[in-house]
Amino acid sequence: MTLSTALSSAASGLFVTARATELASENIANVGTAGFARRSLETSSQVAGIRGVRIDAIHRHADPAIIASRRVAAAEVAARDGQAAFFTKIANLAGTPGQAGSLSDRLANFENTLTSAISRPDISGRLDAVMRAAGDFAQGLNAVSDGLARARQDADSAIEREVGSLNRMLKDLSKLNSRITAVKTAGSPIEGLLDQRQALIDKVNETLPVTVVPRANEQVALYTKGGAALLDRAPAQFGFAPAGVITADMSLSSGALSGLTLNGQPFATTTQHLSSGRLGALFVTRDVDAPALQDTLDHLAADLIQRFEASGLDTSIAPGAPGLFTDQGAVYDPATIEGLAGRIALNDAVDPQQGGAVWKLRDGLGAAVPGELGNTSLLRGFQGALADARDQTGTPFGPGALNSTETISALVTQIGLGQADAERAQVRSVATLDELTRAEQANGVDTDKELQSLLVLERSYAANAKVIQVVDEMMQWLLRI
Amino acid sequence: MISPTIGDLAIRFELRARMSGLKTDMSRLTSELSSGRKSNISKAVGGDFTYLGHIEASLSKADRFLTANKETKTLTDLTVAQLERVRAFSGPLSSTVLTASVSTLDTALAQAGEQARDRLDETIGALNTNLAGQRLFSGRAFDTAPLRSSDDLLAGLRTALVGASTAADIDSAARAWFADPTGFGAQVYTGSTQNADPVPISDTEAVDLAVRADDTVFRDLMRNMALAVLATDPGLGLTRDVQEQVFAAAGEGLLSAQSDLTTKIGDLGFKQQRIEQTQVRLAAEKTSLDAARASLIEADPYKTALELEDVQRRLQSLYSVTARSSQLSLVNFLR
Repeated sequence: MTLSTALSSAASGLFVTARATELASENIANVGTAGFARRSLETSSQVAGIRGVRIDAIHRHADPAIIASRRVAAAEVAARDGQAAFFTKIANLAGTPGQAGSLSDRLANFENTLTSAISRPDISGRLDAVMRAAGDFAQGLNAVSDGLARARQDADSAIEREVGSLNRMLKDLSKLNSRITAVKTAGSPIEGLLDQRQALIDKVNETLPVTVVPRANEQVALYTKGGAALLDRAPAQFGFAPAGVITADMSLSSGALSGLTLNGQPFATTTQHLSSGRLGALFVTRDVDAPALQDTLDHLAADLIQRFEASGLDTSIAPGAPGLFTDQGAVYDPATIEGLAGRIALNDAVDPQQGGAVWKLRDGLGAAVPGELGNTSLLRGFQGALADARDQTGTPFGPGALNSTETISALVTQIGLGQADAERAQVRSVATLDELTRAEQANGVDTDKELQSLLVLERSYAANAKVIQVVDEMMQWLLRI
Repeated sequence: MISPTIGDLAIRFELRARMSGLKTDMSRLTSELSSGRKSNISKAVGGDFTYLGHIEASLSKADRFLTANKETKTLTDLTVAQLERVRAFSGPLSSTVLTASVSTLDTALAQAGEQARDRLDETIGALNTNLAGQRLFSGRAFDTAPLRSSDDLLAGLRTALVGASTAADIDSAARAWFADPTGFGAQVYTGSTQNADPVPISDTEAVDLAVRADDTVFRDLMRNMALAVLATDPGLGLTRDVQEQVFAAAGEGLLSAQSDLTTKIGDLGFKQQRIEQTQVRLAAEKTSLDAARASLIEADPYKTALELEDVQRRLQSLYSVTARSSQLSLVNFLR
């Protein structure tokens, strides 16, 4: 009958208005939640005999295209942040020319003390200053080498942590997938769970960039950019063996450092799968950036040692004997150049604390007794050895001849260029991420709009209630007949 | 229902990002203004430190030589001063000795001999001078005084002259003893037989003072002075005639020694000049290197101050926009 139809229409209107108010209040409550997708109600009029309005669906305003682009940018930012942080750390250790305590500064100090000692080689205080300055320089090289080793170790343990959390997150996602399907089948709202899943995928994406593929029943599958399956009905399992203490000769190719395994199979760390994301950046730091700098640093140390081992420089020592700088007491051996910068030290013969004497800087490392106090020939020889342009063919310093200062500038330049590149890429990726985040958030909750719709809902609720009241009165009239 | 909206978070995100950007700029500009140099040097040189490294190394080298050359200059000045001192009295001494050689007074020779003895002491004193522990005329043996006392010298020479009775004999015996490494070389000279090493005054130049107490000019000076002293020595028993001849020869020897000394002083004067010229050149180099470094890494204070003002103004506008837009909400109108 028409009156009862009117009643049921009004009742459906009340129900839908109430539901819409519930959604509006949920939206307003979550106005500050990042990653919250605005809900709205999709309604249409009832069909097939029943009148009124019905709810088609609750629409979650999440644009998958923007979200996918934002994820690409986020993975890039995570990777560049890691790379820039590494280069900044090493750049601070090595220092820049003119900065106190930098490698360039220590070398300049060493040369200053030599000049001062050449002026008065009879004053042992000046020879002592030379010994200290030379020791400081060697220690500066040790410190940078240690910094590089530490950076590799930190990257290695960070990889272990990331792999662990990645495995956990993939398992959680798999569980979330099943729960969403179960709840949907039961008929309850799943928007909150969808928000949760989106947030979790964002976190996985920062570690390892992913592509999301929707599957039936609101499930999703995750693939890497290279096409390997991370989550397709069952979560994948990554494996990694941390190395603990890392020395300069250990590398991925030598087998001393571990790569990744995916479900037991070796998983390449240098391909498209890991070209972005934090995990990829950590591997690049551990296996590419740090070893390259270590190689240059080791060649710098080798150059320094060889300058002072040159035959004819110190006639008091036998040819082939260690010079002023040693490889922990031994002569330079090209076969063991890896990690040389961490082992380079001042010859014990000139260090009083190691049983040596500073006058040997003047009279020769192999001299038995002090000689004439005005003898500056060895000291001038040392000065010349540092200023000499030595041929650098076959080393990372390239063809051409460089003096000591220039080799240090070349190392600092290598670090500086790496840092500049990483920072440029970082700035670019952050700008892109900002743009995309803003675009994504533009789809978010707008309180003005929610309040506006609340006004409308209030009126519509009142109108529906009024309809019910009027229909009720009409029925009363009927019953009074 | 699809209607165009802009999420609240998007507006807030925009304002927050701009604000943090401006604040970072402001702190960077403030530190650049106060320190005078760019805060990110790596960015200022584009990561390439070759040129800056070269400038810093050259500056450091110029500084180090400017300091070291001051010491070298003091050393050279003092050396020249000692030689001047000796040259100053060798002229008058030679005329005293020559006058005495033709005088008829009994005591003339003895008095001239006394003067010569004093001058010999002064000469040995001048050659034994040290500058803060470094002996100037000992060659490489910085710590040892080059000459023993005049007593040792006279005793050694006296022994060598015993038996000589003519002026010619005395002359040749004295020359032989002074030239003998076991004579003067062992009994009087205690310095090194190697000259002090050349001292570098710049990258490419070095100054070689090359003056020792056993150089020919000093040996000639001391020989003639010592002969003037010993001629009247009773132990040698020389006749008045021979004594006068010895004195005459000594007087002439002192004159020629004086002119040799003048040449040597001129030589050293030239080296002093070279040191001064190098100092001037190094100071000029330093100025231009400082300017080159400034162009690379120093922050122009005027430009930085202008930028800082601009950033502060923009930050203030952003603050007022943020405050105003936070009030633009429908909530405030639905009371």
